[in-house]
Amino acid sequence: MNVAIIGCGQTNHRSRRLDVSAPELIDEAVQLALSDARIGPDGIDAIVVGNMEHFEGIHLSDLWAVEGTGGVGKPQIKVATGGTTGSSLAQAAYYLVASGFYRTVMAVGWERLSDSEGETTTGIVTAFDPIYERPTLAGAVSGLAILACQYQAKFKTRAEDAALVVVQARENAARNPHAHLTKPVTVADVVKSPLLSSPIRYLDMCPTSDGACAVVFTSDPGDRKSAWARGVASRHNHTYLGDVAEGSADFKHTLKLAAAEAYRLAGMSNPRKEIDVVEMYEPCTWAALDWAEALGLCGPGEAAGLWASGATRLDGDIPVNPSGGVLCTNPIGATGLVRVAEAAMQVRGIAGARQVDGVETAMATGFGGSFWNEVMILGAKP
Amino acid sequence: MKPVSILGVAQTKHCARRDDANYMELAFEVIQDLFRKTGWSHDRVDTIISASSDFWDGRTISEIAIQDPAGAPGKSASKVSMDGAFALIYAAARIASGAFKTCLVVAHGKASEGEPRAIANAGFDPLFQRPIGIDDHTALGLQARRFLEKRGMLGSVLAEAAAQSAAAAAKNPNAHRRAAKHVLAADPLHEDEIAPDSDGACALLLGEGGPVELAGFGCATDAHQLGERDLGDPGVLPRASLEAHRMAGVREVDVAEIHDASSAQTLLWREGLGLPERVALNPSGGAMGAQPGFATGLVRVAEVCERLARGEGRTGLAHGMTGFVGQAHCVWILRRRS
Repeated sequence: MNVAIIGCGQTNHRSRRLDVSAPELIDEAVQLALSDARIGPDGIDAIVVGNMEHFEGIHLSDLWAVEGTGGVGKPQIKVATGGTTGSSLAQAAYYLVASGFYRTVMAVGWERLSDSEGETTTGIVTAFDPIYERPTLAGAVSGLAILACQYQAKFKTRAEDAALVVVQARENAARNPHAHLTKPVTVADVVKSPLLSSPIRYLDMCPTSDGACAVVFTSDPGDRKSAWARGVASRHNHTYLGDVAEGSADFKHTLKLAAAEAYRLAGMSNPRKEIDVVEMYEPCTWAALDWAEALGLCGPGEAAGLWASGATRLDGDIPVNPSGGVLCTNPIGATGLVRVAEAAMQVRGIAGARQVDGVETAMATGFGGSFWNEVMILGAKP
Repeated sequence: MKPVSILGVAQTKHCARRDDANYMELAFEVIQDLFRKTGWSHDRVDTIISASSDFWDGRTISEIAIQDPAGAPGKSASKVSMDGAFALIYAAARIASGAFKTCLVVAHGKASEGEPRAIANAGFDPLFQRPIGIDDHTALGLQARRFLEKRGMLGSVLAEAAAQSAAAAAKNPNAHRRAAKHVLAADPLHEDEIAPDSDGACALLLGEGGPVELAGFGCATDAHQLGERDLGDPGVLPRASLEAHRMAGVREVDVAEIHDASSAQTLLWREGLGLPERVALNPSGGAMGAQPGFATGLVRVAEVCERLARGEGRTGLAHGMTGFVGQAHCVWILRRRS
C-alpha cells in the first residue's frame, strides 16, 4: 500500500522551553500537524510516539505525554532508538500504514533536553557497555571524534574544510523560523571555538534543544498536497564500537547499505541526479563530510570540495539541509522526524524561505545507536 | 489483516535473579533456544523488533546490546519501548506491509538489576504524583481497593484468585518459583496477591505458514492521571478487546493468557475481556506466575501459541499491558490454522 505524508508540525526549537510542560510542548506540534493535514484528532487512527527517557529522567514518558499526543482512547506505540528515534518513528508509521493495519498514523517525537541540565552527554554515556566501553566512551562526542580522526587521517582534510559545513548550515537556519541556532558563524569562529574531543570543536557539534515534531502518514491523502514514501530502509550495526569501526564495517557502513536499499526501492540508478534535496542527520561537521560520500553525493574524499563548490547550498545542485540541519537544531527524540518533516515540506512545496526550487524527490536520513542508519526517500508521486 | 503466523516461540525459565547472565545474554539464550527449536538461523531472519525499557536496563538506547545476539548487523531492526505484545504489532506490520517475509521478535526484562519500585515511581507525573512516593504496587493497591468497594466484595476474593494462579504456576516449569507471604503489601493487596518481579526473556519468529496465525489485534491507551480513570473499571481494555475480536472475526476464544499484575487484575481484566467461565484463563499462571518486565505480554502470546499448536483449542487470546494499573492495553487473537 502506498503511503503519503500529508501534514507536518514542529515547534520553534529553543534551548529552554520553561513556559510549557512536555505534554504542552507536544501539543503545539500536534496541533500544527493536524491543521497542515486538514484533519481533526478523530482522523488519526493510531499514534507512534518517541522520546529518550534517560535525558529527562521520566520513565514511560509516552504514557505521561498521552494528553499532548491526543492518544487517549487510541492505539499508541512507543518507539525509542536513540538518535534515530525520529526516523524510526517515521518508519514505524510508514509500516503501520503500509500494512493496512491503520489508514492514518501520526508520528510524534520530542525532547526537552533542558531537563537534563547540561548533562545530555552523561545520559548518552549509559548507552555503552558498563564494563568494557563506558570507561573510555564519554558520550556522543567521543564516538564521533573517532570517526572524525579516521576521516581526517584518510583524506588529510583540514579543520577549515569541515567548518564550512556549519557555516552553511547557519546561513540556512536563518531562513527557518523553527531552527534553534540561527546566528551566522565564520570558518574562523569554528576553528577557534573550544576543543571538545579532538578534532571536534564546540561549533562543529550539534546543540541540545527543546522541541517536538509531528508528522501525519496516510494511505488515503485525497486531494491533499502529499509527499509519498518511495524508499524506506534501515541498517543496523554491531553492539561494540570496536566491531563497528574496524574490519568489514566502518562508521558509514550502515548508511551506505541503507541508502543503497532505499535507492533500489525508489528505482533510482543515479541518486546524485535524481535527488533534489537532502535532509541529512549530521551530528557534527565531520560526519556530514563522511556521510555525503556514503550517500553517493560525491566520491570518497570529495565532500570538502562539494561544500566548497557551493553545490550543497540552498541554490546549489544538491542542497543539503536547507533547514539548517541537526547542527542548528537537536531535540533528540524529534530530530530524525524533523528531517522527514522538512523533506516532506520540500516535496510539498511549503518550506517557505528555505524552499528549494522544483523539488520532486527528497531524502531524509537518521543516525543513532551504535552507528546504525535509516533512510527515507520521498517523492511528489507514489 | 494479511495472514501473519508464528513460526516458533521460546522463553527462558523466569526467576528472581539471574546472576549468571546480563540482559544481552538473556536475549542470546532465548534466541538460540528459538533457533534450536525451529531449526532456523539468523540467515533466514529478515528483520528484528525488540521490546525493552531503557530504565529497566539501566542503559539509554539499551537495544544496542541486543544487536549482536539478535543478528541485527546489516539488517533493519527497531525497538518498541513497551511490552512485547505492543512490539508484536510493529513486527506483524513489517511483514503485512510486504517489505519483509520473516521477523524475529525478542523481549526481555531483568528486574533484579534495578530497583523496580523506584523505577516505577519515575513513571508517574513528575510534578504532582511522584513526590508523594507512589509506585506500581501502591497504584495496584488503589485499584484493588476501588475494585472491591465498587463490587461490594471482600478481600478474600483476591486471595482466592491468587491461589488459583499459584496452583497453575506450580505446574509451569518456566514460572518464577517464589515464597511470597500472605502479608499486607499495598492495602488491600498482600505480597502473594501481587505479581513478582522476574528476570526472563521471550522470543518469537513471525512469517508465513506457521501452525498458529495472528488473527487480529486491538490496542488502546487511557489517561495518565489515576484520578481521571475509574480504577474499579477495566478502562480501555474492552475497547482493545472488541477491536481484536472484530478484526479476527472471532466471538469467543478457547484459552486466554493475560498480564495480571495483581490478583485484582486477574478478576478485573477477565471482566474487561468479557471472558465467560468456560474459557481457561492463565493456565500458565499468568503474570502472577512470572513477570519479566516488557517480556510479560510476549510470554502470554507464546503460551497461547504453544497451547493452540498442541491442539488445546482453536482460538486463543493473549493480553499485554504497559503503564500503571492498565493505562495501555494490547489484545491479540490467535488462531490455529486448520
